[in-house]
Amino acid sequence: MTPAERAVRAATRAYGETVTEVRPLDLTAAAKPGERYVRPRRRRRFPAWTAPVAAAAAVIALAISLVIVRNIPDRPAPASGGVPRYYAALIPQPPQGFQNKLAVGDTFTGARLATLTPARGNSFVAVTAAADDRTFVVATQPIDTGAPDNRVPPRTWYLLRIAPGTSSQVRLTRLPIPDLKGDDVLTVALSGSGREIAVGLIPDYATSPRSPVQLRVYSVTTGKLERAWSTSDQTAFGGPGRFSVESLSTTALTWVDDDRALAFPTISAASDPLTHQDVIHETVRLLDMSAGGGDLIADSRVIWSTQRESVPVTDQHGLLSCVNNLSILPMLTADGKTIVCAAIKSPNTQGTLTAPGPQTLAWLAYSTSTPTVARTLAQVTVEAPSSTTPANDLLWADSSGGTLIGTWTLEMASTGFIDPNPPPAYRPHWGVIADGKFRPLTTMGDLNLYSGIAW
Amino acid sequence: MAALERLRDVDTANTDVPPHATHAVTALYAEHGLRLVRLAVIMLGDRATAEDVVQDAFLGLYRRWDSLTDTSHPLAYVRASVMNGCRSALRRRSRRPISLFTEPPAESAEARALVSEEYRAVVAAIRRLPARQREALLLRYYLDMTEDETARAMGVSRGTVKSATSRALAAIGRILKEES
Repeated sequence: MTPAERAVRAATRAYGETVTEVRPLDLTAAAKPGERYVRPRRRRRFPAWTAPVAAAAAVIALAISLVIVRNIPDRPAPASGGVPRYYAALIPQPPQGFQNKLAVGDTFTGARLATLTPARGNSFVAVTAAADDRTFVVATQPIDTGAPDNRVPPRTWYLLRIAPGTSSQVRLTRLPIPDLKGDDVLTVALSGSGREIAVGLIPDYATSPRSPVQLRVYSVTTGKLERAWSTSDQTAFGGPGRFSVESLSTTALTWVDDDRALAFPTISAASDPLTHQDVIHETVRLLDMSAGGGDLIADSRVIWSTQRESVPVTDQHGLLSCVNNLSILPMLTADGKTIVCAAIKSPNTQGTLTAPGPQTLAWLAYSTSTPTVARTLAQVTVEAPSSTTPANDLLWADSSGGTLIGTWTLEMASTGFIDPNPPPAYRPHWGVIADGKFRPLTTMGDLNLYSGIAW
Repeated sequence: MAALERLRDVDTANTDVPPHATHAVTALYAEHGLRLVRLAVIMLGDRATAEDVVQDAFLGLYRRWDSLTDTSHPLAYVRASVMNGCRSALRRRSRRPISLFTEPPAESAEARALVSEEYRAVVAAIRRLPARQREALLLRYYLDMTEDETARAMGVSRGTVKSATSRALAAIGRILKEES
């Protein structure tokens, strides 16, 4: 054990021992939720008979929300260069962020078209978009499902349509897609046509965490399960626990080739027999929907892969690559020809991203025909004060990877309280990435906080 | 130390869990609640939130007791729940950018009085780490879990644990050097 390891061990134990007693466990809060004070974040469990009532309440609440929808501006949108005009975003609500509302906005004018509030005790947890920039699927769930691990399975699904110039400019319709209670849903993706929705999940994760990973495709209009694949390889979609709180990934699964195929990432680690270092191996696999079979791994093929040693202090610090940013998964564009991702380069010698100084955030592209050669689509250099972490994200890509939407943010590492009105330097910087430049999308300026977004 | 070893090892032992959920969960809390609160306090730096997270974890276990397929390993279940609760709390704090002028959680009087300045500096450095690094570090060195056990508890690969731990130790060394 090194001196640093010994110091951590001794310090944490000494600190932990300053807590000498805890309050008694109050199980009555779980057994009789209506009779005792319950902290704001704990939610009552509704008995089964209330489910239809709750569903009706959700519709009513959403209908009430729609009353406040502003008129969609009738002036023409600025030149978009293929960037979708409308977005739908999950917005965590103060004071604690346990509930997400759904904001629908105009990318170019900054107009907030609607803010939808789910029924009391519910939260929007998923949003995914079709290719027409007017069709979305969203889902809600009760904020406390009773699961101890904060999984966010979509429970009630809705179709969201934006219809400029009509009497109901934002329409929300309940969908018959099944309730996925108890499942660890990792990612959802609406097809380009909006007719099908793909869901990556681990069924019954709360009680059987080693269940096979599944990919399911449902019909949006009928809710019928059309196709399903499974695998015991839990590296698919980045693995369990990667997206475990509050909202789902909308980039870990993409529809390509006119909705004839699905692409998904895997992340695994293995020991290198020569160096004895663990090597992180990341792939993007392509699943042909027209082919038979039901094995997610055996019936798909790797179209891109990369790897690096997992201990960055050895030789990988400063590397600018997709795998350097494990929280952001690589994405295949809809034409099936380009992998795009967000990446971080850290200049300091320890590879840590919390060091002060200039750090480079980039968006990269790899052609599937030359998968080892990265092109830098755009990059920004951020001066990071001590205790801050620069982070970037990839949120949308056009069909060829020529135009992206991304963000970068300067965040405190983790300590401190939420500030609802951060100084400008600590707000997300939205931008369109094209022609080698990150062009700020200043119209997104009021969106300081989001836990999921789709175009 | 013996207590920590029990906390670490109980989920691999074939414990004889009482049949009734109230009895079982209350007994588990009596034996491990304090240690889990300590772990959450170090993770979060905020005793009230730490106690909430641990209470919620045990309430979740209690409510789901009948649906658990394997009630012989309740500690692993509740510990994972505590870690996820801490992760959620940290995520909620960090999701929004934070002002540099915002004060961090106040250190307890007990900590100021009983823990040396050197140790408090180490804990403060741990709290400045990203959540995943902090989690890996505490599971490895506070609970003395192996890399494999830590990987299972965090739901990530062993390589990710190794990477996160390595980065965390390097960052702590640098933070302490900067502040010395």
